[in-house]
Amino acid sequence: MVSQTTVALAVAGDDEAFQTIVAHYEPHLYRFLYGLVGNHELAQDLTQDTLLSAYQGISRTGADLNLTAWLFRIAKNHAVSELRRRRLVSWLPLLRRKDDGEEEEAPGIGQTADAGEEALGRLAVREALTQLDVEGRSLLLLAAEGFSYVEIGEMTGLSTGAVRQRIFRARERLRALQRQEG
Amino acid sequence: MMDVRKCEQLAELISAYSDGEVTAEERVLVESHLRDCPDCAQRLAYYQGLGGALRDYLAAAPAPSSSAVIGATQKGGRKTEMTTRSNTVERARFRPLGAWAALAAVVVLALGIGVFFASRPAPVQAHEVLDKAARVAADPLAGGINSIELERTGWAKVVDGRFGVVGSEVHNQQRIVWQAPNLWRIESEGAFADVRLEVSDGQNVWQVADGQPTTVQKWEPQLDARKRLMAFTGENLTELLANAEACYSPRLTGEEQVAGRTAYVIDLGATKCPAASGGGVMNGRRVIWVDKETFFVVKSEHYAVDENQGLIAKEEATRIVYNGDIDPDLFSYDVPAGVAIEDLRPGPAPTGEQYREQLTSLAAKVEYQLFVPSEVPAGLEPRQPRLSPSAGVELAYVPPAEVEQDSAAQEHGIWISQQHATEDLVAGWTAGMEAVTVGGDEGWLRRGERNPDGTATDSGVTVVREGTMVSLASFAFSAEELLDVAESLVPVAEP
Repeated sequence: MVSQTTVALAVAGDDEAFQTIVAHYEPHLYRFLYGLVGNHELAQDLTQDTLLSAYQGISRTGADLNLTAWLFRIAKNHAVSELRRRRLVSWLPLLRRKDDGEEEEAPGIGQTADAGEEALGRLAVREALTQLDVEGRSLLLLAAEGFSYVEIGEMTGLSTGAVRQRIFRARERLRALQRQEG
Repeated sequence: MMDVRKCEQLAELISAYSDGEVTAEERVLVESHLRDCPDCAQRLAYYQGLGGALRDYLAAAPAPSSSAVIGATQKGGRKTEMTTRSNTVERARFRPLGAWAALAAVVVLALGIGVFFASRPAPVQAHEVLDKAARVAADPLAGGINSIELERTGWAKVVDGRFGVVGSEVHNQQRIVWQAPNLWRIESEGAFADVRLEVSDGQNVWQVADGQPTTVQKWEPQLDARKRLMAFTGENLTELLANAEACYSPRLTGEEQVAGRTAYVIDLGATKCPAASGGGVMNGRRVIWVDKETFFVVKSEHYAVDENQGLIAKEEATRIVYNGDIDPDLFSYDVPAGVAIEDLRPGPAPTGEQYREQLTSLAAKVEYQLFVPSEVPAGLEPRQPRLSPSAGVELAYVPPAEVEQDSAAQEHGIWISQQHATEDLVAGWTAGMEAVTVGGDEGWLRRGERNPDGTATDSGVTVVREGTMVSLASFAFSAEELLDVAESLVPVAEP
């Protein structure tokens, strides 16, 4: 964890402190962004953009900065604008079109299989994520990364209640799609 | 009993429960409902399976390598470059119930994801780049380079008085044209440009020394031409690369453009294999840039041991053309009319008597007193002595196998140069050295460092005796051993 002293030093312009921050957060940010955009190179670029924005902007914040929330917010904003620009080029459709005549059978996962299998047997995660909007996707990824709802609220600007509700909705959307497909 | 209305009411709570985001009261409520409601238990298992699958998906993401260098254009005088580090972060998380179901889900899911990842190109690792760079450094042909035209600039802070005033900055420029297997032309300007032109025509190597425009030296191309290509700031990069894995912590920190080429940036960090005595000036952090296509090293930076002192050396290609058409005339050298040719090809190993004669003959040629060790250092044999424009009379004592070669004598043996001792010359050669007395005369001593990874500084002893500056240097012998040899110096009698 990065100490608040380190944050304060970075805010004051200490490059070494910022290096510490980068060392700690870069893998988290990358993973989060990778989950959001589903593309290694784009995630790397966005991680770099995020850290660069942070580097340029941290002096305009204060010593009491909530660093985690701030960094992930920057990351998400970068991802949202980039995805908007790219129109989600790298994402695959979740469901094969019913009318293309090439739909495959479910790969051997029966209706009576256990709940986990039912939930995910036909959904590759990456494809599943495409079915959510960026917000739903980022909420699920942040929860999976172990952030608390309070932390996620700080990152996204949502109330804790709204975080809980939207995470639930995102999960339910995937579950419904799974059932629809199954 | 299943109560659909209750299930709907509790669904969001179950989702929060799967994240550990419920109060104690809510937990009791959820768990008591789950015991009686298979549908909701299944819903929970789904949420947990999804969370586990997402974590696995993220954990399996390719390593964030090339995002790691930020070339920041920063206002307010902040640094313009920032390097980041990647590492994998493991995280424990509370999983309230149904871990078996989550596990099963992950196992099933892994099949689908495996196919997806198998189709992705594997991320490039620093060691892979270094492996290839080492192979190309040893043999450019291995990287598909048959010829190269290279222009590069060098910059260094002087840390050794022999190369200038300590602390001052020096610059050099080189234009190198090389064609496999043994044709090359190297034009040098600035610091470290004792030889301003060197041409290998495949038979002889011709050198035109700086300050000696009327002298052309030549010798057989026994030098490994490929090493000349890789000799960034005079060091043997081949050895550095070969030891990079063992002695450094190489990290691929990104990609940058160098001379129009895309290059991997490899931050080697500081050496982990310093000499046992430690403290060598060359043990600081190293960064190299490796051409992404040919794996040729196109840029190198060397930092001071004390990072606050920043860079101490930098070399960078400014123009690179691989496998282009090269004018064959560049590889020939016509000796200008009236210019003397000095043949520096190493002669056959002298017998004891021949050696004494050669020394006596040289002593008559120079205006200063010559000295020679009273005995040939143990395990070594003398090469024929020679007079060079830049280093005066050179004596070389080397292992027997190297006597008739043109290798650098100080690498495995002892190199002794003798020149007329002017104040400036002595000041330059002894800057930073420790004052000692050598046989009653004023002397200086430098303790070299030889790191197991091949990087090194040489040990040296310099003594001024009867107006002659005698300097001994070796990477293989310690300063104390050199001191013993220096103590044994005796004058060479003129005929």
